[in-house]
Amino acid sequence: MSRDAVFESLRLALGRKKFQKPSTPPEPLLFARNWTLEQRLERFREAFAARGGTLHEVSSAEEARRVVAEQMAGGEAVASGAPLLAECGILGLAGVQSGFADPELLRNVCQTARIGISSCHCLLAESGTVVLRFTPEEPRSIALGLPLSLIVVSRRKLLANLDELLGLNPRNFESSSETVLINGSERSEIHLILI
Amino acid sequence: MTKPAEIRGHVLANLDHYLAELEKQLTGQGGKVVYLSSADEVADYIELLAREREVRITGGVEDIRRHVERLEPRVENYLQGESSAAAEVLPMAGGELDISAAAFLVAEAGAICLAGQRAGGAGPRIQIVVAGIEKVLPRMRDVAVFLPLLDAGDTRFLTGPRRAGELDGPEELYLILLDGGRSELLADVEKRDLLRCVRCGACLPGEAGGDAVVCPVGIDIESLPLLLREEAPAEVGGWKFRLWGFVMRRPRLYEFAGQMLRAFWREEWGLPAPPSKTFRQSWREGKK
Amino acid sequence: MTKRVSLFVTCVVDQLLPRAGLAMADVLKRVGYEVEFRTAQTCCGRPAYEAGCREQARAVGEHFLAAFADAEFVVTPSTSCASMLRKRLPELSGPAAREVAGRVWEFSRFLVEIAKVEDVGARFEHQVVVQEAEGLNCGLRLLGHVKGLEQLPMSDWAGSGDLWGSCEPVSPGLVNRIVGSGASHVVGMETERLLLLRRALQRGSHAIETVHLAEVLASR
Repeated sequence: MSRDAVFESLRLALGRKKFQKPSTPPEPLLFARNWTLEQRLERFREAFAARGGTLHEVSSAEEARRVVAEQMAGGEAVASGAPLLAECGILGLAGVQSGFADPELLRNVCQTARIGISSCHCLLAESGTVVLRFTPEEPRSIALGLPLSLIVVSRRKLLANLDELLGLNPRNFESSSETVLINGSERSEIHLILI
Repeated sequence: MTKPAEIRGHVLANLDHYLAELEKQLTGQGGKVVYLSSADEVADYIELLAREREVRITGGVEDIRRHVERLEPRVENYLQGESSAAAEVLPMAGGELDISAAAFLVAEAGAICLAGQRAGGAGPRIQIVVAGIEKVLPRMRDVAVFLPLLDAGDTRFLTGPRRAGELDGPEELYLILLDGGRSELLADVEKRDLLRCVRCGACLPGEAGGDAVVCPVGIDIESLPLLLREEAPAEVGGWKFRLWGFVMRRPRLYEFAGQMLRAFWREEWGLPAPPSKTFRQSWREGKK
Repeated sequence: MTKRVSLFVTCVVDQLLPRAGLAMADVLKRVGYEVEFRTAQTCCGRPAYEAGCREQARAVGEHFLAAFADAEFVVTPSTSCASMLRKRLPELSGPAAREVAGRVWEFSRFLVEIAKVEDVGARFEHQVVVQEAEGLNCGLRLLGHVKGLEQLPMSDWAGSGDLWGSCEPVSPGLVNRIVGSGASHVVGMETERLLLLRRALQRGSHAIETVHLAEVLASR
């Protein structure tokens, strides 16, 4: 059936006219949490651990670099173009490859790499969820395609829960081709470096 | 009515509007939207696409159709216990092409929500998502109400193929909106509510169950068996089954019919040829 | 009280798979039951039900109820027919049906839960795969005691086909998976699907045989 025929039959079934505006949709009840940062951190620590994730809380760029170097243990890693990684000086660490501009090259490198370093869009405290948004700077292959994912993110990105994320401007979602909520079920190992 | 039930009811009552909005947003973001009426058509479409893009799919159109039917069964079938396989990624095309089912479609954002899939890796070159037309939600914030009902693992929101400058992600994204009898249900005032179903699984056997099954979108689970088993349309039921019933209530006539069946056996029934003696005959002879 | 059971072989077994019914009777006798076969029996009504003809399904179901009104145990080799009688018939015919319907038992469930027997002294020295069916638990337990039987793993039964509802044929993919499993036999409890599979295997000239659970249990 052609597209127009489909819409004709739907309108017929519903008794609606073309271009007829719908009535106001009912509002979902969103549970906004008024948690302080400390409260959010507390929830997140518990929920993230329960999902099998490892959390490193650091207070400086230097500490963040140390954690990354520890995990790399003298080996190599692939890093995304997230600004935070550059700011923390992680891209300058020995063995870290970054600055990819070619899909082929990235694909080849990711076939043998063991560690991926990236940032993320935000975190959800209540469920211990890591939210990733993929962009030219943050490709899927690096953030989630390798056995070990090191994700560096600022404390300020810790939201209370899903309702808070979805209640925000929906244009956020449209601005990238894919947003992912990671709940850690059977994932590759994830280490979160919270700065 | 619960809030989820209200929202779903509102969407169904204005389905053409929300589908149009979804289509507009998603195509504006580089996705392709296709409307098809049956799993057969979907399988044909996918097979053709795969051939055009030179992607080899193991198993033919038949296997694709079966996969599609498992991914996105008719609402009636789902409610009778046939669970959908949304979490399975069909490994038929060597990572080049993936066919998945959507949990929800968000109209205002032109977004496809996939639940229960393992996210990660570069992904397939061609991403195909199949969804029943009823799976639309108006806004992103509505997802907050429904996603928790699914108890899924990872959740992905796709808004289109890869954007300019991206190094991975699908080159093409197809959303296949499947009617598959749904517009008929929509037209039937008694049955329209069945389409509110979001596949949360609360009513399926084997779950926490017991007597207290509460459907979050307010589908009347109790009256499902009767509702789903209405009289078949004339071509299927009607006189054929009246005759059948007449015979089946008369044991001697039934036996005779059995003999006739053997005498006029047809290959096309797809069953093995009947043995020379029925159970009754063998039993009778054993008693002598 | 004499231990007696009444056989409900089902129309499909009567006409197309009588060995399953005879095997079932053998095993029941072996574990100490007197077995009777009421000739008034015909069908449970499922074909009409699957086609949406409730009226005819009910009428045929009520014929069943009348034929077995005073039977203490009715044993049937088909899981789907048992389900039809126990669950659907009371929906169609009302609470009166529940009493008799409640005395219908699928064969493997009867052995395990009523006769309380799991080892029926069977021997079946073959490698098998077991066809997916609702309520497989008891069947698997019984198979576990069969001497010489080796069950090979096979989890994907998609494409098993359907005789009454969607009238789907068996998928070639399924046939390939069965052949690939290395099994010499497919053991089933859903008679229609077993028969559809048998035909599909025959057409592909595969040497794999299909047997009903009862036939396996009756083997010595």
